[in-house]
Amino acid sequence: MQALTAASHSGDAVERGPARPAGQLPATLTVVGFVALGLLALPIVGLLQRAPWTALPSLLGESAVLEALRVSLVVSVSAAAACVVLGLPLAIVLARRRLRFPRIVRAVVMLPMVLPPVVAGTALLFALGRRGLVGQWLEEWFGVSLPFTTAGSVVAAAFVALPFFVVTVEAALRQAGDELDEAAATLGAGAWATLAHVTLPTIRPALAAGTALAWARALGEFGATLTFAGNFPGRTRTLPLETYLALERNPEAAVAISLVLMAVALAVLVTLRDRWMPR
Amino acid sequence: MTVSFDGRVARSGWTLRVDGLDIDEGVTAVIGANGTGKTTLGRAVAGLDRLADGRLEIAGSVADDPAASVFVPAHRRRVAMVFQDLRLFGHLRVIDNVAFGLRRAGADRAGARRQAGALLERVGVDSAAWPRRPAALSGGQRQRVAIARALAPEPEVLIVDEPLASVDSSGRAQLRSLLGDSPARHVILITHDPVDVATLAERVVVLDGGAVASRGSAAEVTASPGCEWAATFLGANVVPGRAHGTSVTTEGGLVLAVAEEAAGAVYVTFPAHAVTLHRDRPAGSARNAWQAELRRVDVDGERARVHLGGPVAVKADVTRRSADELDLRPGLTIWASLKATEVTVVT
Amino acid sequence: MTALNVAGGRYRRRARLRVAAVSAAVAVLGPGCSGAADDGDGGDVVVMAASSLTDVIEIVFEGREGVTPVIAGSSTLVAQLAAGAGADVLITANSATMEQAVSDGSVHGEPVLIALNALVLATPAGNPGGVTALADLGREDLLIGLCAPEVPCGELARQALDAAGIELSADTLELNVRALASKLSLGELDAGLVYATDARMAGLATVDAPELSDHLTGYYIASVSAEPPPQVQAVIDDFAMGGSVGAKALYAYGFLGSDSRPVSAVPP
Repeated sequence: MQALTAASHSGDAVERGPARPAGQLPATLTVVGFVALGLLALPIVGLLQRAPWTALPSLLGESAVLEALRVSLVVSVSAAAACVVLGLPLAIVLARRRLRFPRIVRAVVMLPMVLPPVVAGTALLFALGRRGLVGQWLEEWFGVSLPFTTAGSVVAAAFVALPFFVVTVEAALRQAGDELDEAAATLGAGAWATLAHVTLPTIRPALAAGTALAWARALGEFGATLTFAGNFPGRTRTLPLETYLALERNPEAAVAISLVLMAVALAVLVTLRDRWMPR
Repeated sequence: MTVSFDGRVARSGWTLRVDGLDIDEGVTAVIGANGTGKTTLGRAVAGLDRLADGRLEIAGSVADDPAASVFVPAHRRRVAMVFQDLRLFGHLRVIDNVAFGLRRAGADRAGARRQAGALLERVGVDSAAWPRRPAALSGGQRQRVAIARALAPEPEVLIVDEPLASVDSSGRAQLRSLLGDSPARHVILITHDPVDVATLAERVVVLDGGAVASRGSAAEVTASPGCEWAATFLGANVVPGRAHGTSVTTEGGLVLAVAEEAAGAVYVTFPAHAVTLHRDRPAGSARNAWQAELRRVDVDGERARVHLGGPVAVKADVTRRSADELDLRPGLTIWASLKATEVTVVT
Repeated sequence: MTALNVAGGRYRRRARLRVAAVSAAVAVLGPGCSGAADDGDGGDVVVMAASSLTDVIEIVFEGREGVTPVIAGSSTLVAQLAAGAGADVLITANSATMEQAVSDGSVHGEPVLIALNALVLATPAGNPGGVTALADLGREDLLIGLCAPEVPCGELARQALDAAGIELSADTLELNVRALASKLSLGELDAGLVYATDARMAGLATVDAPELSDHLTGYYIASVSAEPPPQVQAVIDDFAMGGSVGAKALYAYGFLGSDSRPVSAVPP
């Protein structure tokens, strides 16, 4: 986070002036840079090269795949919605309130980004499972048990996706500062009116980007969902789980599903670039 | 109706202390060097900064009183502010920036836009600019929009922080007249511009080192500025006239040569220490020389401020020693000179 | 404009994270990264073993230099071998996966049966769901877990339940038996079918289910190369020879003994 913030301050393209001519870059740097790009692109090429293009419609038309797609859409959209509802207040608190232990709070927020998803899932079981810290009371008082339900998949996906939303929105809020909020207050706007008419519209690009990133992360979620919510067709088996199982059963189907996931992720990223990243 | 301020505002590292300042209706200029607390004073009145202790009253009702746990938030104070950095809403059209305060006060969209348009016309923003975003406007145009936006909700108090800093010269006179007959009962003008003080302010508050150094009418404060910075600032001569090319004819008929070209109604300003006094007609490079009647001499330490009448009323600062050497006394007729390069023309 | 640009830099960074996530998802499909030596001579002997053997492998190779174990589900291991992962020895948890490896051409040595494992009906300690028979796996009020049919323990469970004619009411189909056993031991599931060895390791209670006794799975070891070098053969012998350190460890962990018969000679 520190690095992100610092970079964004220095990343002032308008004042930086024209880019250096390429001739001034060390040649080795350019070469290594392109090698790294190749490293990122190679798996995609590998996937495309093995793709069963002609069989694609029938592979994706399999009822198991369609069912997983349906579960994935329900889970990822709900998780993204949960990220907005819960993440927006959190991002505002982080950006605007003076916190007692800001570093620790920030680390807690970022944790799901670096935690192995399987560990995240296990931790969720300890907290929200039937015998978990909070889960046992949920079960006792409300008869609610999250593991092995679609709701559980949503919780797991939201858990890992939330930081993507919060970090994006918090950074934008910090960038925007509270100057405009102050101006709104002197014009008679109360806290809610300021939020609705000034703060949120000002960071609209970041809201969109954060939501899209959180959704994409939720869509690709595997480990935490599997560990916390299990795997059952039509209920908790999402596309990534279907991909994993298809790999055992029919690798071509796995490649087909991966192509879909990859296309969706690329579409999100390209859209983010064009729409929400003014150059 | 007054704004009465008695208390402290604590900022990180320093404190603004204001003991019993009453700001009456009309235009009050707040002057002082950078970092003396001018903006903090404005922010405290607006409700953007809280008092550490003391009491702030606006038009008879308590706005901030920590001891009594009273704090009226900014949006309920009817104090509008034109910020130095303008702070226009980038996501809103120009017209909706101005309509913003009206909408918050409950006006419907069409009515608010109608009123906003009327205000924009008054401040001289062409209707072609109304549907655009503030970023598409020039700095001067944006400044006008900011002023219109602050005036729109008809505030009790209007605080203007460095109002004309980025307005293009052609618009200053218009905006000055707008601020001069602003509908807000109190206008607090935080400024660095002697012309603003000379042309707009009924009263002046001088801040120095986080405290009030002097207050009163412009004349009172000029006589007792309370600090060196204000003495220099208030020593500035502001003379209205008409420019034609590189000369300006003052109302008294004196023609002053100036360094920059201008046309039409202008103000010329020059510091009091730029005026040199001579017993005989001066020779040399100063092209501006005129005979003046010596009205009064104020001696303050090693400095003497000489008030001159004649074709133009100006102040001249000389050392006490040269005042003695020239044997300056009221009633004397004396030569004054001024280098063209010392004169600033303000349109 | 400036502010937007600055914010833009941030999204760009986020975007890179996404690319990383995408390629991670893609990597699931690519060849597994085993860190293995190429042929066995010169480097460590790389032993790929089914995840239910985790503890046995640990005991057998503890403190032993020159051996690198790679633990994963049998089908994953076979897929990795087929995709060209370097390994010297493969141990699978059923015959089907070993046969797959042989027919893929990734295993050239003769597979040898080293142990048998049985499915048991397992519950958390104390059996909070009150499970009394295999037929309880059809109870709607219980949280029931099985292995997914794509992995050996799930395939075996499916066979057993089909044979017993039990209508299953499962809530999750776990991707490996260890995960299933953990969820049972955490009490998140009320009952499930796991290997006897995993039930013992996870401290699960078991309920008598005679229907399961006919359904055993065989563990097979084979050399990747048709003519294994001596150090590779030594590793195979550690499991395949009666009274070997591997055989003792397998027994200690609850595996059933075998007579080191070749695959073709044992029932599935």
